[in-house]
Amino acid sequence: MSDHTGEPSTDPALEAQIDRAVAPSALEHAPMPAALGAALRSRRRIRTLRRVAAGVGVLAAILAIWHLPIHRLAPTTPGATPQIIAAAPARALPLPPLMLDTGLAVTIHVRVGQSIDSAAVMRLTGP
Amino acid sequence: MPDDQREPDTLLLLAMHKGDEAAARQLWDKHAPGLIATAAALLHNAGGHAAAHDLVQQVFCTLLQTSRSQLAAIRDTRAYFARAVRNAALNERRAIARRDHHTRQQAPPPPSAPPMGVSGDIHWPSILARLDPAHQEVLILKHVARLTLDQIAIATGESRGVVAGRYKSALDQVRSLVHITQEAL
Repeated sequence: MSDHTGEPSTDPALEAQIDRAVAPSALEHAPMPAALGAALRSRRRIRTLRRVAAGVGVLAAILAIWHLPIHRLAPTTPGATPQIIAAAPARALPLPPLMLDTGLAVTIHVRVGQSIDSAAVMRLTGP
Repeated sequence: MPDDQREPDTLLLLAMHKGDEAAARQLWDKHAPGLIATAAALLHNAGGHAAAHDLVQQVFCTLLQTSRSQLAAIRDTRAYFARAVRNAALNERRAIARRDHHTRQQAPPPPSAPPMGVSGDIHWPSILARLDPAHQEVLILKHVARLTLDQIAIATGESRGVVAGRYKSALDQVRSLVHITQEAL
């Protein structure tokens, strides 16, 4: 015989008695508290601000990187993707790595016409 | 973990974490009533319904501060909520005990536990009050929160074997207390 959770019951009579004694007979519907609603609104505002800050950061990275020299190196093996080297000073910009890499990726894509993921940019332009 | 393999409630949790009010309302409507009853039982009704309601509200607000990756890794939302409420209730009980300790130093001692037989019937609250805290907790999580033993293991951070053993000995304790009460009546 199984209990209310569907598990085998060792003493169904006693468990039923405990159930009647301690289980809430009817769960009261509690409206969502106003404080939680306020916390959610604040959460949304923080997320929007973060997105704006990230956008501004990427834009700043693009503007800073735009005038730096970018070189295309011939591939070492035939058929391989040409290596792209953005000037190392780009790494010295006081921006978080994710923004910097996104800025580098966008700049290289627009100027050299090659799609390159941020990991590759990091590897090629690392210190 | 891909979204299609997650529990629907975990997806709601992730949406709530982004600030989605509809998701928060769905989670609240589904889980809050049971969690409030569980919190009230774990607090031994100290502070009444309002204290339990505040505690559950505090748990939901704390979830918003939890990292998204931690929420995304939740496999059993029900057990996770129960764990959060249990931990918050333990903290609250410690705070109440500290306050009581200061109050007791200035006031006369409180009356002893209520008698076990009341009006010719078994008085369940007094039987449960006589269990040790770990046994009380497992009974509350099983019969008030209505969790399975696996979920209780997640909620308490113990192994399933320990929880099953604790539940069995809680039943044995209750059985003997009921027996004593019935003999006294």
